[in-house]
Amino acid sequence: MSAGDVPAAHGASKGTILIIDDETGSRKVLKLLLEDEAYEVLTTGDGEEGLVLAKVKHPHVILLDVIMPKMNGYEVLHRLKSDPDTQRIPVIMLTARATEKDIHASFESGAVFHVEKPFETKDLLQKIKVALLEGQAG
Amino acid sequence: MVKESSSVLVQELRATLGKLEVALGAIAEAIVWTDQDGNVQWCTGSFDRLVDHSHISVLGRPLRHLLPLSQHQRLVDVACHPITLLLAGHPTVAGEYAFHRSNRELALEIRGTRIEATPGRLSAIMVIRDVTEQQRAKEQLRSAYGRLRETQAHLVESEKLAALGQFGAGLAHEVKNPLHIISVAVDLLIMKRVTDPQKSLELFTVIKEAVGRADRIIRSLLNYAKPAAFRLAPDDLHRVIDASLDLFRQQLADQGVTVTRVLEAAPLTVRLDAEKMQQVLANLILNAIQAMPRGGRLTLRTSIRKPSEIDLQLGRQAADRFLSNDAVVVCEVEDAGIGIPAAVLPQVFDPFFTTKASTGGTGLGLSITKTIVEAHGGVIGMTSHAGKGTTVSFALPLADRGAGAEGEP
Repeated sequence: MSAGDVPAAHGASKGTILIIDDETGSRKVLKLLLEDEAYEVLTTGDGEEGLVLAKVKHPHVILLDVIMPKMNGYEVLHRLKSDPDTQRIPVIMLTARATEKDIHASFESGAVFHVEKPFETKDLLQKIKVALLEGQAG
Repeated sequence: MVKESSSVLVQELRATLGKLEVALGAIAEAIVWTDQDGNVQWCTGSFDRLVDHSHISVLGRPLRHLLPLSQHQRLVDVACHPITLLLAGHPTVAGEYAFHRSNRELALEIRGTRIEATPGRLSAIMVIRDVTEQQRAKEQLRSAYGRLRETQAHLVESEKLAALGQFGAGLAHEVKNPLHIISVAVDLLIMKRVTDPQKSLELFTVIKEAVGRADRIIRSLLNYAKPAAFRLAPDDLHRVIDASLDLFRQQLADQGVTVTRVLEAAPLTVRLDAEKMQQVLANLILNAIQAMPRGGRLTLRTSIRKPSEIDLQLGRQAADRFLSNDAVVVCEVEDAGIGIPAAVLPQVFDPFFTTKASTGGTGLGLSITKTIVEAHGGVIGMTSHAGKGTTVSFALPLADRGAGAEGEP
């Protein structure tokens, strides 16, 4: 586990969020943003490692990038949803691509939201809150 | 007896001269002979027709009056008329002139020779050829060639546009990602009022990097689209390879194409035009991606070799292009696609040859690629095995170590 996985220093955590994104810069800013919102944040740039983290750490929400070199986001999503240990974790797809086909593919595979980069920060935070509730309800 | 035989001889001579005159009249060139004052002494029938006078009215008249000439839309001065030049001492003249005859401009090619048959008695012979039709044909050819070049330029541009469309999706991804990073970072700085100086610095660094990346992507796109003359300068081929791969990051990931770079450890300095060389690599990478619609491995290899160490088809070309002791940079782009039938391999670099007509291939990609490689003093070739894949290799001269220090005495 990397140094990036140290929990937030803010008071009580609102929940754990796993970020799977191959872009270092993207991981960095999302981690700062979510820690500032009092979430505990785990990050990885690799889909395979993301699957392990999800299984071991049981995050409350997963933010998942689509375009990644080794295993793309849809494949990761598919595996998360096929594993009984991880299938209930709400997944928000984060991607710079936005064809209808892609959005459809996200929902077909069981994502709760498809957020297009760049996004309104408030909008993402709102969706994370909804996903958290969904996770608790499920 | 003597009188009789001489009259036979005169008759024979007349008959021969008659035949000669007929023969001379039949040839296309007009021949005219003048005395030392430039007056016509003898001419062929084609000269009469050229100046549109009867034979009788031509004889004895000054050639300059019968044949006023122009050059560059201006009447040639009497002192500069070819016949004047000949009689003034030029042993020969040759030139192209325009001649106006009843509202029609003829193009004439004129050659003349000064003759001094008897000492002190000059004369001149001129051979005049009507090259009007020839010139018109040449003009038509020239304008057709101009149009062809224009069309070719358009096609080159549309080929570029087609390739642009291909990585348009990739471009969106490549630019939107840094935008997303900047957007979140700025929000954090503004709305969240990050106070920790260490964190602020970190965010600014992230923003700077993201801006740099977006700028790089847009710059390479602009370079790709910009038509420009070749400007060769020593540059690292590896840098160009990586910049070209950057353009296709998303498409490679999308299509499940894994990239393997097997590059020489040291930078490979080649005298190259970075924009054009990027076009070469972008074309080859795009072809490789298109050859593997269901994914596969794209391998990029570089090495330094002697011309004799280069294999196959490229080796033969390299042997012609390079000296046996030259250090040559070889770059290979290999895909694991379906391969190209051996029968069409010799044509793949021909303009307009395409196996992708149904999907909008113009058949210019590889032809342009070849042109660019050759403009770099290089050679390019392709090998392919059905079901295994295709390798395009090109070889470029390695820049001398002192290539950066040009202009030294």
